Amino acid sequence: MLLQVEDLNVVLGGLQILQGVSFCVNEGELVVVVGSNGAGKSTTLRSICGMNPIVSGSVIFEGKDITGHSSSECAGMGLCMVPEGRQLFPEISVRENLLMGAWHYRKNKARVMENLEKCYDMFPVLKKYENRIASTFSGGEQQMISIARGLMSEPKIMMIDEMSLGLAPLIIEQLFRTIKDLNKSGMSILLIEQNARQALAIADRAYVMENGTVTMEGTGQELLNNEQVKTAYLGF
Amino acid sequence: MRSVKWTKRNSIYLAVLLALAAFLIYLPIGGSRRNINIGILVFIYIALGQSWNLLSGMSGLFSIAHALFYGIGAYGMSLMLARAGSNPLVGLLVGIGANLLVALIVGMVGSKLSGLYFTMALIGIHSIFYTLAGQLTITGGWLGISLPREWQLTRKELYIIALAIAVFMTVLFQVIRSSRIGTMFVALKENPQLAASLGSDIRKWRILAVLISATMASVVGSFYAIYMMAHNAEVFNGTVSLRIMMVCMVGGVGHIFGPWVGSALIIMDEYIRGAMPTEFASLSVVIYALVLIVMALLRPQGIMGSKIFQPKEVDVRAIENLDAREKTE
Repeated sequence: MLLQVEDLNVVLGGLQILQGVSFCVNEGELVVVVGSNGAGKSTTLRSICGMNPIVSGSVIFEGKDITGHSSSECAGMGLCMVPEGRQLFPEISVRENLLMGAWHYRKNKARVMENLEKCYDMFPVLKKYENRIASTFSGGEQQMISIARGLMSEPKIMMIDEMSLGLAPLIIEQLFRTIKDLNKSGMSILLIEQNARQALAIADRAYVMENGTVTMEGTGQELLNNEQVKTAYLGF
Repeated sequence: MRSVKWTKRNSIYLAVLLALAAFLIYLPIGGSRRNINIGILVFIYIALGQSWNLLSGMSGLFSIAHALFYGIGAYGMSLMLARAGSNPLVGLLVGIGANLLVALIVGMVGSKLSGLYFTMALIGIHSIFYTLAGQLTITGGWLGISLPREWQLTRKELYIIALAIAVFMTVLFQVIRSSRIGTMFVALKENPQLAASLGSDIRKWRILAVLISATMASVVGSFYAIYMMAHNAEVFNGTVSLRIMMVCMVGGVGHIFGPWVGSALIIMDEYIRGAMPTEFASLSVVIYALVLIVMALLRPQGIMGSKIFQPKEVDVRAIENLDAREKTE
């Protein structure tokens, strides 16, 4: 098991946001977590990456307990988070944004350049405009930069938060294909989505979160056909 | 790494630079003593501006009391020359050394605190030094400290050194900005939490930003001590900090030529002060305030921060249309 979250409890500003969240991601799997607004999906991700204090519970990554590690330590271990709402550094170039992702092995120039080329192969549009500052790109392109920056860190698992937020349907489709391709090439992915239909369609396994706990789990297809999920998230 | 295309705009830049260079060379030869002094003052503030620009414009730690580093540099030089009887090189290094120590403290505070709290901590540390410099006997108190005459340089020598310092600081700013350190500094300003989540220890980088900036200001402070041959605790005065900030803000925060353009303010200030009757001379600070208000209303991003001077953005849509046309053809 690559990543295991057990009985995670998180309190933020006096409110208990997560109440005993448990789930796992196996090596090479594409796991999707769906849920409505405020279910605690993003908080779960942020807590795994050490951006929120954890009250109780544990996060185990590659058999090692990483509960309470700082976010910069997590990045060096191969946990990569692609944050919600893209979150680029707006005033620096695409190239510099991507190089920021390679921070923890920046001394190894050959390795950095090799990974940079891989990212450019995956998203050719980024290579074309590599010296343009990030804020001048469209939402979809910014999401590509964000994913590419995640890949630059040579992650063992990529955790992507709300990838499709505010993007055009055509671009969402393209991004989901990219994610699936990445997964096929062996990358373990934890995807958090509100766009349940498309996310479940590509998922190996999926979880449904409600009010800070995991209420359902199964394969992507199982949940897609589940009556409860259908009415609550798919709208029919 | 990056290829720069030669455009018409570059030619304009080059022409302006050449004209500026010609003027700067003419000034010490043909200029009056007063104009040379104003020139030196301008260079001092350009160099200080770059130091501030690095810390506050690039790394986003707002330094409201930058005179702290400047003053320590000045006292490092004057104390070494006047009290210990050593040479300017030692003075310069002692100033830098003392500054690094203080910057380490400021940086450690700054990496814990951010925003308003950093600013307040800096004001606190600044007032300690301001008061000490004014009270201690070794610093000469408010009467000040004068340097041995043997180290006095001619106006022209001073002018050349000042120009060299200003150019050096500008080049240093650009070198840092285009290096990976600079990328990190900008990242610190724009989104420190994100920078941390990508695996960098933001505390260390904040400290480094303060260290570099303090060293830059220290060199200028040491030069100032040699230039004036005597100074008192007023090197720590808030007006100095205010001027440094104004020069950058008017010119354009974070822009490499911001301080060069903004330093026109210093020239304006000097001439207006010279033209005004003595009893009103101290009112020149009112002019600063007025300029600040006008700038805030008309051009909050500073002169160089304006759209005209920013690197030309590629029109995304035009390129996409072009791509589409290429495909169809």
